[in-house]
Amino acid sequence: MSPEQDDANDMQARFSAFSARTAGISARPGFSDRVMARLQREPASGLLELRLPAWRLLPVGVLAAALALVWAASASSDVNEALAVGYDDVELQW
Amino acid sequence: MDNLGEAVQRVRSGDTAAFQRIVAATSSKLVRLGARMLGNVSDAEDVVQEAYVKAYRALISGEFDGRANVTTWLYRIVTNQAIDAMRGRARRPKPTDTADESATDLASAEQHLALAELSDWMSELPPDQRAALVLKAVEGLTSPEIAEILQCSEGAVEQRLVRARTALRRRSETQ
Repeated sequence: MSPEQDDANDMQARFSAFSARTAGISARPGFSDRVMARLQREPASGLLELRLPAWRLLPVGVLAAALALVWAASASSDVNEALAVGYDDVELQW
Repeated sequence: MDNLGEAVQRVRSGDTAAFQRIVAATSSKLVRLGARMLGNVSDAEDVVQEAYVKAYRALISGEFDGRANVTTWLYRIVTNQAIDAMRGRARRPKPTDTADESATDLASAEQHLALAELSDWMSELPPDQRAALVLKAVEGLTSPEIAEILQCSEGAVEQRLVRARTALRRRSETQ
């Protein structure tokens, strides 16, 4: 066997030993709970939860917007009438 | 598709709790992979936790379609996170004491000693070579599997492995 092959075999044997010595490593107790708690703080999931009620509220929102528009138009019309100048009452002066 | 496919589909349809099944089934091997790359369990858990967050986001957004093997996909995310962590660590000064607080019993102490020795042996390697070597020589994956995880060609994997082994051999000769 060549010295290069010896080297390669030695190296692989050393890696195999590391693999065996570290085979028992796993996540510490509570890790899974920590991950799930972290996911609960994810803005993406919160956003998703907010979307469904938001869709349900959409028709109410549209109705409220329409009523607001009607009220604004009517209020604007009242103001215009109050401010309107009766042209027939104004005498032109030269 | 592996047997986590059903859990993946449930998470994709909005069932967050189903993700716990994925975590329970994969966390041990992912933390072990991270620890072998980074040299300690604490950093590995941080990396794996962030990897799970990324995976969850990808599932929710539909980025991961569920057709690929879930474990291989998670291996890819953890490996990328670990490579980023190694690069970040290279830019920061090394802490004086990297001992893990969880090394409470003898078996655990031996595992942490082995991690420290492995990390020290590979400390001079660039992160991508270190990752390829851990996946091949310690995790026992094949070159096609490593190419899928590292998202490169098999030739590129072999090149990284040859360079890494050459660097380790040179290091042994100089010591």
